[in-house]
Amino acid sequence: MAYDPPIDRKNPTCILFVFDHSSSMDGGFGGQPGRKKADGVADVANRLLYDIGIRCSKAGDDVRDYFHIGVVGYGERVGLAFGGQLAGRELVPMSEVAYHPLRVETREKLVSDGAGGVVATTTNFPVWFDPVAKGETPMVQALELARRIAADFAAKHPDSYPPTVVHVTDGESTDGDPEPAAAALRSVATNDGNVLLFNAHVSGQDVQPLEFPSDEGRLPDDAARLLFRMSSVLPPTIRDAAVKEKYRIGPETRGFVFNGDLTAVTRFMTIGTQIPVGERG
Amino acid sequence: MTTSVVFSVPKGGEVKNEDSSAADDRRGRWAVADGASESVYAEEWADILTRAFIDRPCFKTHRLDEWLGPLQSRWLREARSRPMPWYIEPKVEDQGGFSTFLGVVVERPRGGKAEERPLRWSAVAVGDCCVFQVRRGEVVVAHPVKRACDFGYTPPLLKTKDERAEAASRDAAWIHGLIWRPGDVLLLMTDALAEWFLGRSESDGTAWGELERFLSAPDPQAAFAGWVEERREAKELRSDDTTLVLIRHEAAT
Repeated sequence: MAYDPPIDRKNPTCILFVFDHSSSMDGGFGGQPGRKKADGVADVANRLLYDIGIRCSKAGDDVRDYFHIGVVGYGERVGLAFGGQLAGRELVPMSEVAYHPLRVETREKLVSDGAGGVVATTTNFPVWFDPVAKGETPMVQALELARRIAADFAAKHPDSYPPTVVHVTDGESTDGDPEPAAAALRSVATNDGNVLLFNAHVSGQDVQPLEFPSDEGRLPDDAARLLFRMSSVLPPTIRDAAVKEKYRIGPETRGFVFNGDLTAVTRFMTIGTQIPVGERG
Repeated sequence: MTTSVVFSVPKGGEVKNEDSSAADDRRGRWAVADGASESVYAEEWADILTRAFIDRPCFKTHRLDEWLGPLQSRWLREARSRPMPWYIEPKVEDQGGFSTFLGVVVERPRGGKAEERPLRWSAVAVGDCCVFQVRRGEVVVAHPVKRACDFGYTPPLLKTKDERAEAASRDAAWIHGLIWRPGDVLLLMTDALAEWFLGRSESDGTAWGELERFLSAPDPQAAFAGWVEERREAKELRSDDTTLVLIRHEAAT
């Protein structure tokens, strides 16, 4: 069945992030006063890599390369967006991503005290990306670069689960219509299936977040509708995984999220015996 | 006389294997466990479970949670004694380790003449590690999964962290006192192989015959590894850690 080959180190898959770094991302994030869209993008990116790193870790010295990660940023320039020791790298095995964040911050979190209350404790949180908001929005060029990287991966790993592209933007391209570039990106395929393109729209509008909608009629503006059309229709195996995560999914559902939580996307990919949802910490 | 042999091959591209097995032919105890791919120190958890079963099978009380308690503490102690980078700490502290488990014991009932008291076997399973009893080439018992279509990616699991103490007992599938005749074979398998075995048994009944072929090869271990690789390439066998414990029961001579 398509989108169901085992993901292992011999047949890894690729997750490619495409991030809007344009100056418009300096604007406010809907419903979250004091927070900029660029902060939202950096947060999504860091949380996704945090989640993937945790999923792939087996022991203190063992993070498995089930995933190869690439990051494209577009704004002032279009290019590879890892920083620090990973700067300039196109696709990086997950173990190296885990070992080389820009920094590891200590954050406070609340945990159960075992007696009905909560206590504050600290946890380590890695940061690979800081917010960036500079320049125009050359989305078409960015999608073309993503297509080239995804095609290289597919050529090297013809039997792997196809690349997953996660594009986060506020949705207003300045270098032309992005729909054809998105279609070209989705047409890249391994023997298992086509690239899955997920789009996350971060918007300044203070409207209800929307995750994995099935028609564009419910979306608040043209930019959101465009991104919805650019997104892949979810294949059956992903739909099943999404249903298990309590999403309401139909055959027309697309990989599109409006001001919502995108971290579920990577959990839809199976890497063997899964642990139950809700127990992933 | 009872003899067992263990075969185990890791998932494609891996050196480490999160399947664990333990055997004590003399006392008639065998166990396999399959650490969940996504969980931390899964191999260690699977090892703790199989060794503990050999030392002290959990059939006395039928309370898996009581049996598990000290094992869970041991896992946590060992995990905390190791380095805790950011990608490990939440897994150890918030999630814990996960594994499926199968334990099998063989006993001769007490009283009466030995020849009138055939060996009997019992099993406890949590998740999709399976035991099959094969008699003259036919699968006569399959436990706990009965059909190939019942395998999935989310089997019940034994957890190192479980606030609900009764959950482990609830998920356990027990089977008791089945007669084990000389010549019968018991096969303990982790899920990928068990799924193949049941599927092939359902479709054309040749599963046992195919396994027997590599067992009679000059180097059965190498033959098993080669056979697993071939079946994976033919997409008949999922790329997963793959373990087989084969237990034979020959009449005393």
